Amino acid sequence: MDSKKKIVIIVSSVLAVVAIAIGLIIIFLNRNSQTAKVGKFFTGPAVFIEIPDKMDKKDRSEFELGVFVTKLGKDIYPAASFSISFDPSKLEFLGLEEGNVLILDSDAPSGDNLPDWNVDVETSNKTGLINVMYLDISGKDKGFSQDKLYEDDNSLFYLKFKLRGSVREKEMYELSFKDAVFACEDDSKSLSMLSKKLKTKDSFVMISESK
Amino acid sequence: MKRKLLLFFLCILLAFSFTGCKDFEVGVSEQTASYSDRMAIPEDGIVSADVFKDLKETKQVVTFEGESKGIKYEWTVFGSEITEPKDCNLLVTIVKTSDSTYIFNYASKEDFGFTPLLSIYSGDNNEGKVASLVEVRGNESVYLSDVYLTGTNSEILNVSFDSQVGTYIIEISDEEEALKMASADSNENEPANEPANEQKASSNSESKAESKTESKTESKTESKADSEAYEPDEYLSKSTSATSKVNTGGGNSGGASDTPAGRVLSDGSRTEKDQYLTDPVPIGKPQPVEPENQVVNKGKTLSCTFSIDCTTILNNIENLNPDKMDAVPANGIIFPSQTVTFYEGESVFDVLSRICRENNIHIEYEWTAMYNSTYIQGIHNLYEFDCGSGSGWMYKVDGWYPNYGCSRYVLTNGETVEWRYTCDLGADIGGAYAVGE
Repeated sequence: MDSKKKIVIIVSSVLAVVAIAIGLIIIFLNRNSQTAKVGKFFTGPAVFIEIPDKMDKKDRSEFELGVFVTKLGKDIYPAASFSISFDPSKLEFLGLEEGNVLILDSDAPSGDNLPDWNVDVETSNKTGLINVMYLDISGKDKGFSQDKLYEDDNSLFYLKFKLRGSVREKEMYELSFKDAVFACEDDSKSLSMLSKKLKTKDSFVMISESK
Repeated sequence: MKRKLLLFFLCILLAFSFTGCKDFEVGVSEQTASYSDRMAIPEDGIVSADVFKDLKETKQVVTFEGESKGIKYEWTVFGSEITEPKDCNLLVTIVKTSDSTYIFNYASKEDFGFTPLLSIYSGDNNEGKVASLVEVRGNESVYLSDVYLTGTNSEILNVSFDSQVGTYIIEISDEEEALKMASADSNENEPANEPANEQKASSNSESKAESKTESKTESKTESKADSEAYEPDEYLSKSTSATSKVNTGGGNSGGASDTPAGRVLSDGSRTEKDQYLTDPVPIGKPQPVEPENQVVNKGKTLSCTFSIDCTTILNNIENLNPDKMDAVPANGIIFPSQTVTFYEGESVFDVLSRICRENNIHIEYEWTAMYNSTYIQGIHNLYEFDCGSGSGWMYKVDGWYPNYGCSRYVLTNGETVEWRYTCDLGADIGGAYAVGE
């Protein structure tokens, strides 16, 4: 092997090592920055309502806002209820769409099932309070469990709305939790907003400014 | 052979480099997915253009959390609004100077180029209060916008403003106090250029509108109490003097005259818009009366014929917002024509609002300072634009659609008032002239 070829091989090897090192450093830094970006909010059990994009006041199409849960405790929660207030003169509540969080269900072949949420749409629009409830009436521990949560995007359900004709540009309509509970048989282990064991994060619908 | 080996090695190196880059890109996209709608603002406050680029591409709504001297704040960024992603400094310094004042200063030296929402967690109980965003310019405090109060105790102050440079003040005040201030402000407001009719595009927030409307009512009450005699404004004084001049001359150009209610009729001498952008009032038609000068005599009851209908919608049902189908009565009559009573000095708006209140008919309106009148946004849940871009409410008195707002039309005994929904800027109800068509 002549010296020219040796130099080429050495230079190539050095380049390869440098490229690998740079790649590893970038990936490492990227992981670090990602960790730094996770907000403090997600450290404990919490439920939050998705914030939608700004909407046009003339938009009359249906839109959905996910209600998500971040994590639960170690127990099984055979009941859950959420009271969410909204302005019925500005938003029309149309109902619920199922999420992806499953409950334990020993009767089902897969061992899990979608929860059967109850909500009264008409009353919600009259009172401005959406009461969503799940209750296991079988007594077979068909409840929510941390084991059934995913790593990301645990949607309990989606709230379907439509803007009413009375919305005005630059206005903001709040959707806020008045109560949120994941109930255990042992009440002391229940997660509830009022006992501050379950954090909540409200949402809002914002109407964009006409350009 | 060795050359081939070398080439193979270089190919591997090249492939690895690409794979590495691809992995990195996957990392970024995963990072986007893991934004989880909330992120902490970095210590230096700078969120890179790459993050905003991701948000723009994915149209995500993300909240950035920060804290200033124990006061938590959040930016809600709407990815769809980002046009040119760039590094943005999201740090905000917030100082609470009193129970009712927060001063905040953006660290950013340039605007972001989009309008995020800044939410400040005051920790105070602000129920029953209102808040305004104010900018200090020299010795003057300039009102910029309302601040939305949200949260269980209205403790979150929400500001959405297109500038992210400089120092701003949030002033929190009791609703009553704010009403007084708004009342004072509305008297000082300069008019802007828009036709004076009921066919106006919607503008301010409802809360602001309500507060202004209420403030006007309050101001009216005050003026009722304070002023014993009717004092016409600058324009009306001019008009009256013009009228007397004509009369003195022995002419009768237009029949300027005083009605029993003291109403001043147009003699056609005015040829330009007045201070509230009202075009000249046709000869013989009543001149507008400024609400702040209205004197209501509750000792004298008069009557008029009043009706509200939206029959035009029945002919334009294909243009109606489908959500509003239920709001349209089968015959289009919302309030059938009937005689109603009112107090001397009351305006068309006063009577309309009372009728709606007493008959459980929904009504929404806002005070519009530039027209010095209340603008009717919706009746019976039928709003402007609900039946096409030229739709909205207009009023007609004795066959004439006044070219000024309903708060400026003082009713006299025996008049016939018709509130009609137009689907074509008044053309379909014979009132196009009132909107300058």
